[in-house]
Amino acid sequence: MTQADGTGVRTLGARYQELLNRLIVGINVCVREVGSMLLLAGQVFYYGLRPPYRFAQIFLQMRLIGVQSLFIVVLTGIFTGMVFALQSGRAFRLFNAESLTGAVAGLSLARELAPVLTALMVTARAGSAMAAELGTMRVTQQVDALEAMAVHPVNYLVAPRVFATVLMLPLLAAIFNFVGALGTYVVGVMLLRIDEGIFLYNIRWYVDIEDLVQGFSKAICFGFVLAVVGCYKGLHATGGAKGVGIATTSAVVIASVAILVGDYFLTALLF
Amino acid sequence: MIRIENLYKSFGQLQVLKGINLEVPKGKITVIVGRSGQGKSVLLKHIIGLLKPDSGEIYVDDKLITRMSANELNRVRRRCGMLFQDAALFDSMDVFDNVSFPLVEHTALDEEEIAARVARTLALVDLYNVESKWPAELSGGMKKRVGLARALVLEPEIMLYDEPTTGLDPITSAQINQLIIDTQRRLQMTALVISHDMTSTRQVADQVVMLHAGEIVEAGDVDSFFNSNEPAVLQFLKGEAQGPLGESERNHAS
Repeated sequence: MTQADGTGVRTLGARYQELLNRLIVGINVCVREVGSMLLLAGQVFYYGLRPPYRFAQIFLQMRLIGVQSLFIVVLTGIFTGMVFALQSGRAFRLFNAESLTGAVAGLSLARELAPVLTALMVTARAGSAMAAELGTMRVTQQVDALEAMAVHPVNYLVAPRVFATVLMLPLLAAIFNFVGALGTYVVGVMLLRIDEGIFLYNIRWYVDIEDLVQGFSKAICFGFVLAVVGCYKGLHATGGAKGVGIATTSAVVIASVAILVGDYFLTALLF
Repeated sequence: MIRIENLYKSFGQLQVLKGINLEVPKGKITVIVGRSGQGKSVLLKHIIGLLKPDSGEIYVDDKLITRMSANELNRVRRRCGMLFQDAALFDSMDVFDNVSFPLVEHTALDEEEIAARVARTLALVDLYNVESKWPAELSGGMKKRVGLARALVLEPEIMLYDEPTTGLDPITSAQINQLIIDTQRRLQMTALVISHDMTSTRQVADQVVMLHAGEIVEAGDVDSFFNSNEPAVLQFLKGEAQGPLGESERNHAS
């Protein structure tokens, strides 16, 4: 009906135009954000791999990001393994294949669950902390003070955090793997009464070193992404406490989405 | 000496600096005055390279800093000290680590020498036994003084002060002013001070520059500034609500 009358067509056209404009602005912002993050990722290598080297900072961050995430990684690892065994054990029992529970859980843990869930937990714990800490430093002019004292913020603040995360995430994923398998064992062998010998033999038979390498490679990539996103959002925080809050939230959201989306493409392209 | 030529800077639609031309003489204290939000801090941030101008040039000792690489700029920054408005102390470090930071970064001094130099610089700003305190435990005046110590610890040739006495009680303000004068005399440094505190301006300035709506409305030595007949300066000195500054503030807002 609106199309029959000329003004209706125009307003409809105008509405599409407005929608299109908004879409273009949105894409523009996205492209610029991603571009700036890639630039920061490049700067991490440029400023991080030249003196002064920040070993003390890297070790400090390894403790904050790695050691202090241990508890939460162990906890999530155990329960992930347990629930996986519970679900898959029951499903396999339907066609008498429950002895495969260990193998399937082991494979899933090594390739997907350990790197992805560890990365998500570390994003929630350490990625958010990076955004909040650097964001507070930015809005209270501490980053400016650093620059004014002739110290590059990427060299002093960003690179140590990125290097520490990249080093710690595969280790955390390995621990996740181990305790996850332990959880599977507890539920599979002790609760579902799967034969212990077959359970363990199947894990060893099906899970290859390549599966573990695949998981650790992913963990390294995810660590890099979550640290760069966290630091980028922190360094670009504006406008006081509210701005720091927004930076922290978007760091966690962007890093989590990037990890899950990136996981698919990494798996599809590389393995 | 710092020379600024035709400096323009906008943030989005808002034009903050509109063609600033200024010479800051070597070994003297220049005070930039003006109402809040007229681009004083933005100007200061350009001088130390924290902001890049849209157009125009800044020379520090005849070296063009506006088109320098990051490494060259850092060499210039090492000769500068800056006191930030809220001191900008690193709150993850105690006072000792804050003040020793420039020494650790840019000198090869050993631990003892660093400790001695930190204690000496803190004594200079009248602070004793605060090395192990955290910034959160300090009062506003103490924070400013620690910030000042951090800026002075490398004995810079150029010192930039962003509102050194804002928010301080009159006595602490007077002490800070005296510190600015003393350190300038002792080290023969070139100092640039942003202030809207007229008492302290009269006390410390050799030269006064007034900035309004991104332009310089008056520049001259301290006596000529305080005897100026320029209506904007008169209004600012008397602190009157009505006048050319108030009006242009309204225009600025609209």
